[in-house]
Amino acid sequence: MKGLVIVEYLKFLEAEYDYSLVDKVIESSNLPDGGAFTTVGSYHYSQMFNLVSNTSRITERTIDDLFFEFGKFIFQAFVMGHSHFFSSANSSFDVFRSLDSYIHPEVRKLYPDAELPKFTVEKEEGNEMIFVYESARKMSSLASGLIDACMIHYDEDGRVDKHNIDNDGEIVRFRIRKN
Amino acid sequence: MAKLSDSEFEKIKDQNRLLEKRVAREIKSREAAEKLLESKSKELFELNKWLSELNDKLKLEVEKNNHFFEAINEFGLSLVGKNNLNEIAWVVSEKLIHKYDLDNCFIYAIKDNQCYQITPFENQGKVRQDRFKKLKIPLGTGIVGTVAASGKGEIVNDTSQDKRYRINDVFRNSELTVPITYEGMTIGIIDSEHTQKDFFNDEHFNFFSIIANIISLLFKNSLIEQKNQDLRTGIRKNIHILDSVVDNLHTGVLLFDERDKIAMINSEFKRIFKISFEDKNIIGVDQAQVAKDYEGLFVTPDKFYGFVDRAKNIKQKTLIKGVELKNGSIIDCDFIPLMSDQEYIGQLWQVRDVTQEFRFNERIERSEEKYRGLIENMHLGLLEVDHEHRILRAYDWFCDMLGYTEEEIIGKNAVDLFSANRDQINLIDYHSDLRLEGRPSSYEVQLRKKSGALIWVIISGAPLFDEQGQMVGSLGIHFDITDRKNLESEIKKAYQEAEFSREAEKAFLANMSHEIRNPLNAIIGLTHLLYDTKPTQKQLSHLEGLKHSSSILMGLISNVLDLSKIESGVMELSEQSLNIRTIIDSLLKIVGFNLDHKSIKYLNKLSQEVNFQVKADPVVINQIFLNLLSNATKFTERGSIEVFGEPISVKGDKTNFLFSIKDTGIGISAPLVEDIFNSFKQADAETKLKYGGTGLGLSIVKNLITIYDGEIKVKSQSGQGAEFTFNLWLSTANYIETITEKETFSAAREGHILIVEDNQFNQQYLAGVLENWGFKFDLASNGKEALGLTENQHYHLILMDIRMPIMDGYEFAIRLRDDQSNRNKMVPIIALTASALIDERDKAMRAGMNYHITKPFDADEIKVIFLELGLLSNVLNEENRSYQLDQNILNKYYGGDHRRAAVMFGIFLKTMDVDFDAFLIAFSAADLSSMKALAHKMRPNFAMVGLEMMSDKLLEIESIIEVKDLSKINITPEELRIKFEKQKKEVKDQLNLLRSLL
Repeated sequence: MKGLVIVEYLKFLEAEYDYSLVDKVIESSNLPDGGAFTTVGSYHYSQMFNLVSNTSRITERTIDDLFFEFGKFIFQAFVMGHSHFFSSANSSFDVFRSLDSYIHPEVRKLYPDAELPKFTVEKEEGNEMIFVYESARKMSSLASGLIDACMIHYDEDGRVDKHNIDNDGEIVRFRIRKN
Repeated sequence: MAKLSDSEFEKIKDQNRLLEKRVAREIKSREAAEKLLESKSKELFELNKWLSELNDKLKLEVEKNNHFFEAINEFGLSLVGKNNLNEIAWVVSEKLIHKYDLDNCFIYAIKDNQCYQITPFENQGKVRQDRFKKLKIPLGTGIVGTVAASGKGEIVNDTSQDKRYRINDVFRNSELTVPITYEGMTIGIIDSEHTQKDFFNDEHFNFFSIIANIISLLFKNSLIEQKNQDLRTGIRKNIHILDSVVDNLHTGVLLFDERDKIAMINSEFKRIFKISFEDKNIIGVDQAQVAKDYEGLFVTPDKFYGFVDRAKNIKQKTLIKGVELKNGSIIDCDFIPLMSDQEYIGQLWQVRDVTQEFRFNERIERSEEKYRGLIENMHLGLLEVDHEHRILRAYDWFCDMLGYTEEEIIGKNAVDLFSANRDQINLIDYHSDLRLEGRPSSYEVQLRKKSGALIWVIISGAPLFDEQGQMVGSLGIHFDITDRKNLESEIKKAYQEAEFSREAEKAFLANMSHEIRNPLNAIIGLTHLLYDTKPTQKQLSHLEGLKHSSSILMGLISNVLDLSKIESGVMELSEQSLNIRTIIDSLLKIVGFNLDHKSIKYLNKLSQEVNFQVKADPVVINQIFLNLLSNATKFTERGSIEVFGEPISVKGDKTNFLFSIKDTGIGISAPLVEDIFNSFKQADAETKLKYGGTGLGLSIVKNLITIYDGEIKVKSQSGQGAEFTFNLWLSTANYIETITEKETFSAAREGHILIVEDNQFNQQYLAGVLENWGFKFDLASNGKEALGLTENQHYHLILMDIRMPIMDGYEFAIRLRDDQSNRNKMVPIIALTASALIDERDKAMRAGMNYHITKPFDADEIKVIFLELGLLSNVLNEENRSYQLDQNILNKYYGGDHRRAAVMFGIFLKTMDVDFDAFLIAFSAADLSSMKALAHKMRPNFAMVGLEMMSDKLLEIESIIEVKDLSKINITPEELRIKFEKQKKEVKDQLNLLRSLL
């Protein structure tokens, strides 16, 4: 797990609540470095899950909800940090289409050890797009949040349906219909 | 400043603690980040260092390689143009020693398993004669010998440690030896030594190897050069041989070059023209000069030079024959222009002294005249014409032949004068053209005599030459063949007439067969109908006889028709997927079914491993096997009939199947075996008498087999059984035809019934019963028609008459039960038999039928079976209308169905008049057999309309006829007619009544 994601998550929590919650979550997560994360470091993904599940426990929000909101939050970080990905696209579909073929390969050049989900566009027809998310990390809710934020970024309105293909949520099909 | 409350103080304290923690975490994060970045930059530094080192190394390597290749280049340049191995070896040795400061460098050439030293360089280029001993080392000895044998170069780092090394001195401590190979063979060795141990490295090895390759290439060049040298020598030698050949020819040869100057002249030419010049004086002399110098030699120089000029102008090979010289010699002169790629490069004169030949020819000409005289005496007409057919000379016999005198026709055009018609002109022109090419030929034409009469002649023509040997026209020998021609045309006419009558005979046969077949069909049809008329046991046996005889007759006629159809090639094939194994199974059952007293086992022994699914015409395949099996059955009393079959070869999608049918019958005696397949040939007259038949069966089989490119052979001996073996090329396009349900079973609830019956009355009756019960039904008049219907329609029940023409009920049942692809395979069949004999019923069951009803039957009998099969339930509507018709009759025959009864009554009224009139006529004429037949036919029809009395009367008449005593008939034809008319009226009334009830 890239340090950037965890650092952004802590920022997200602070923005949603305050640092005292961040502190509680860190303290209760029993982390190896006492919660000192750096954006340039790489951490075992279990640390992220510790943080999220403890947040869920303390705030009584579901993990999916946290991931979804975090997805929306971190999207802004992506836009700021990698604006060229977004300026060259004209719509959310442009972005989704180029995820596997362009954006992720580019990300991999910068961070060879990054663990990235796989996106496969199954169908694209007019205002409708169906793609499949595949990741052992089962963080499709994060993807949902990113999709939402991305559509808002391009000033688009529509409906996103999410459907688990396997029970675990490792493979998930998204169906997006723009209005 | 207000004092903080405790709780406020605690809150601020908490906040401070939180802040401290946060700061601590951030410091820690930053430290972690710094550490990470530091290690990354160190990694980068190391990488950079490694890359720059690598770069330096590569640079050095490149430089080294450049030196290496420069050296090779220099070496190559110094060897350019050298193709003598010795010379090359010296240069190489010297250069290598200088380049590497070697102690020595030897080059060896390998020949006959020995290495021969060819360079002696030693010690920095100084030749030490004492060491130059031109060493000779056998293959496999020492280091040089080892490398020469293995073809693999070696570096010996320390010679003192190498057992192969025998010389022990101080200055040769390491050695490098590489082979020189040419076309895979080791042809030489470069060997070098150095005072230092471990001196030679890979670079030396590579350099030496490349030099060895260069030597090999140079060696190849030198070989090619050597070959060229040999070729040049060869050519020079050949030219010399050619010169002496030309000079010794018995033909004078004179060659001019392209400027018409003499280039060559041989001795014979000089002899003929008495030229005394030495070669060197005449070579180069101009042609015009030569002509002038030798003008005086010719009798007619102008004529000769004229020919020469013309030949030169047209630039074509020209023969000038019979040139006379003043000294009495005669010469033939060939002028041959020499061209190369259409460019004139000179001319060749070939001159032959033909003085002796010429004199000889003169003598021949004289004898030719003599032969012409002889030909005249042989009554052959001789005529000489020029190229335009103008008559040059006509000999006496020719003139006699055509009724002219020679004076009348000389100078006239022979074609115009003699040709009988314009059509022949083309033929004559064609042969004249042949003559212009100098070719003889002969042909037949009709000529017109002076009297106008026509005669046929064979003309044998040959080119005609004048004294100079020039072709001037043609010479024709005419032979009168008028008589033969007349005979020929008569024979042709006779042949045509014979051919015509043969065709007519064929057509007659075909027509005849048709003419016979139609009434015969009627006989068979009527015979079958008779079965339905409750015949007595005796009548039944007569019917059997009638049926048997008529079907034999039918078979005969069908065979004749089939054969003429196959022979004339008008058979049309309709190919479909079929399984030969199933066909044979079915046929074996059919031919075995009618065996009464014979005890024959039928065995299908087709190869079990083979799928006999093929694509072919089922009629053809069926008939081939059926004919052969029937044949075998006919001639076998007891034992077995076996069918074998297996594929023997495959070509494309066709498979060649070999079948044989083997019986244990009477066999065929040796002299008759050959003839057995010819039309109308049975084994012998005796057999024919005993077994009957047309003798066409095997002939048809043979013809049918040819359709599938097969051949049939028979192996048999009298009394030893027979084995017919044949092959068929059949398409085995390997697909499985799936049976598709063409219709759903929606009709199942109502039930769909098939009625198979050739008697129209019975057909209508059954139809009426079924319609009344609300069933759908189809009608067929015989088994074959019925089989056709079952292929496309699913039936719930089949009502099956037994005796029918074309295909009877038994055969139908067997075929249906055997047809794997027929969806009606398992459908129940009710046999409708004419007699109640147990035998009849057993036979029906054996053929695969399920129920049995004896004719005539009433609706209730059928109903019982329908109820049993669940096709009917007991709630049939019984209609109870009042009517005056005999309820019993209606119930008995029509199951209370008024509509059906009305139809039957209608048919009765329509058809009975004709039959009854015929009966009355036969009655009046006392024609017993017609009477009996008609009475028998009409009887059941009367019964069907309730006229039992009339039916009984006819039965009485029938039995009286049986005893042939007409006096016992107590009624006159006239009385009978009146009775009939009266009853007809009753039927009419009843019909009207029935119709009113509908």
